[in-house]
Amino acid sequence: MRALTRPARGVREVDCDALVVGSGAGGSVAALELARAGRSVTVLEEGPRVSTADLAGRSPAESMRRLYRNGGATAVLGTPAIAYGEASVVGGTTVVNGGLLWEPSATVLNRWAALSGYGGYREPVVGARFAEVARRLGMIVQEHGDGNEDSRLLARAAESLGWRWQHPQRVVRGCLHRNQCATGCPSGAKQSMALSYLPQAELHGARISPGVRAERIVHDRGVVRAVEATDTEGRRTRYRPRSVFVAAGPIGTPVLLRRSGIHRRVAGRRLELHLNLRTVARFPRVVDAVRGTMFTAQVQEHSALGILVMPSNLTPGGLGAALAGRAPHEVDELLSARAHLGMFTTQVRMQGAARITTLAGRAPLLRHGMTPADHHTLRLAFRRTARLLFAAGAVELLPPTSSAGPLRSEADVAAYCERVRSADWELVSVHGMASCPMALPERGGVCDETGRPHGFSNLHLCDASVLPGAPGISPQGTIMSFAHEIVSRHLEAT
Amino acid sequence: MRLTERDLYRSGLPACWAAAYGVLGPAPALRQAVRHTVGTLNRMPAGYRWATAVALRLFPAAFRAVTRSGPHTAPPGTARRGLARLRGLPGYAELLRALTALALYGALDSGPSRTGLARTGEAVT
Repeated sequence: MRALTRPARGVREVDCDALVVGSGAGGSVAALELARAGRSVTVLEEGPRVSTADLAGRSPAESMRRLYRNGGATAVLGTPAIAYGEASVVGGTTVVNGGLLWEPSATVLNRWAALSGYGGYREPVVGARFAEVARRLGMIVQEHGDGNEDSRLLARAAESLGWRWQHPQRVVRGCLHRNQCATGCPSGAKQSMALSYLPQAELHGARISPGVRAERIVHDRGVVRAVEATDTEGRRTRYRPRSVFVAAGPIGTPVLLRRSGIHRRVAGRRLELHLNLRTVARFPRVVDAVRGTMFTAQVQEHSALGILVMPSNLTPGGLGAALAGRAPHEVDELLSARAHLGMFTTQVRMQGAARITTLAGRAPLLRHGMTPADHHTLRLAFRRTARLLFAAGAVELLPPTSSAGPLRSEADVAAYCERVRSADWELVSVHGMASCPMALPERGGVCDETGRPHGFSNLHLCDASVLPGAPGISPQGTIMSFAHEIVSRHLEAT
Repeated sequence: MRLTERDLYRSGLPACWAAAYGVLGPAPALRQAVRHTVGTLNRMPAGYRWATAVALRLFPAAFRAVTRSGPHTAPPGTARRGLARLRGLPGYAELLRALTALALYGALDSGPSRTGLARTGEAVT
């Protein structure tokens, strides 16, 4: 417990009903719903605010540096190191994701209920919340556009194998297929929080403060008294809210709690990840995978195993970066053959969790503990992906291991899977979750069913960190559904 | 501590990139590569920046140790050979892959956004 301290001289003081820390999928829900209920709401966001015109006027590389935390180069240490990406911008990661909106399955929700000891977030409750989110954001089924040849090939291959596939559900209005989802939609089609919930919250009086970082929560006997924050110029403000909603993301939320002495030993002790394997496939025909939106087909045949396969958001730079561990002549040759290449993502739910090991100054140190079971699942996932890609007509695959040469047959794939060691995988993750899970304290939980950290009365968590586990799907829909339920319970109780 | 483009050029790594990779050979591409690499490193936590700065300082010596020539003047074949050997060294392998990924991304995706069709977002209800 941290004693209430007096503000230092020169520190501005601000009173508000509700303070929301973070403006992504969770924080935006809190901002809008609290503002609609007539509360005076202030939203703190560490990153900048960018408009659609701003995104359209900048190169993908500039946007990558500007919109992503650590310029998109956060590392989760371990064997192997995993590149982790999340945004730091008004609207959070919804600004740079694919705008996918999937509903968590009843199976997943029932499993979470059994694990957490809380039964209030099963299918009837979460499904109704999800339907509301889908309606508000105008969710559509994204069919193929002018390009998307890589998605068409994948869908046809799945059909030839009798495997299940689906067009993605997305929150876009008139997608122009610019293929820049990952660095911010330049046409304004994607209904990120920056274009949807947050402007609505502002219409209801919410105030959004970009470039302001929450440093510490000051609390006393389970009651938050103040939140201390700093802007980009180093100016300090002390907010005195009646209630606080922390939605700083799966890493930011536990870091803020730990820095504030709240559940220091449990927050961030476990961080669940979805892992992405990237496979480059060469086709005899022109694929021109840079044409078309991120992807328009997802193969879900192995979703029960936590495995999904889909094309990647291919750009010349993204392809170059994926090939960077290979020899220069190989990189040049592959880049010159780009029209014939597709890059495919295989998403795998990781069983061994990551964790925040320590806070080195302001920066958290992340480490993962990939298990032999994960290594086995990655090999299985790659084998299934390879089978699919060969069925799609690929003549050569580059596996996600730079030291491995091209694979031209299923026999090559089998030999590669036999040889590959866990240290050889080149892995990426863009989905972190469950770092402050909603669960009973004796089950490792940080917060209760209302999102309140155990022992606190006016502090709530409402982002990816509260999910009891990894849903195995793109998590925006799950996060927003949980956040709506958390805020609704708060409003009913106050 | 902030890294500068000069720090990166001084290490000799960009000269190796230019010699070894066709796509990083042209001066404008190399400039974008260096700009993006340094810009990204400067957004990373201080500990990572510090470690990278040390590794870059050591790069000329490491390169010389494996090729017996300096990175600034290495011909393409030597640059490729040197980078290949350093990619085999624990520590340098991951660093080189990360920095080269940033360089290639910066060189290839620094062109203007491919649309001028910005429009305002539509409100939710």
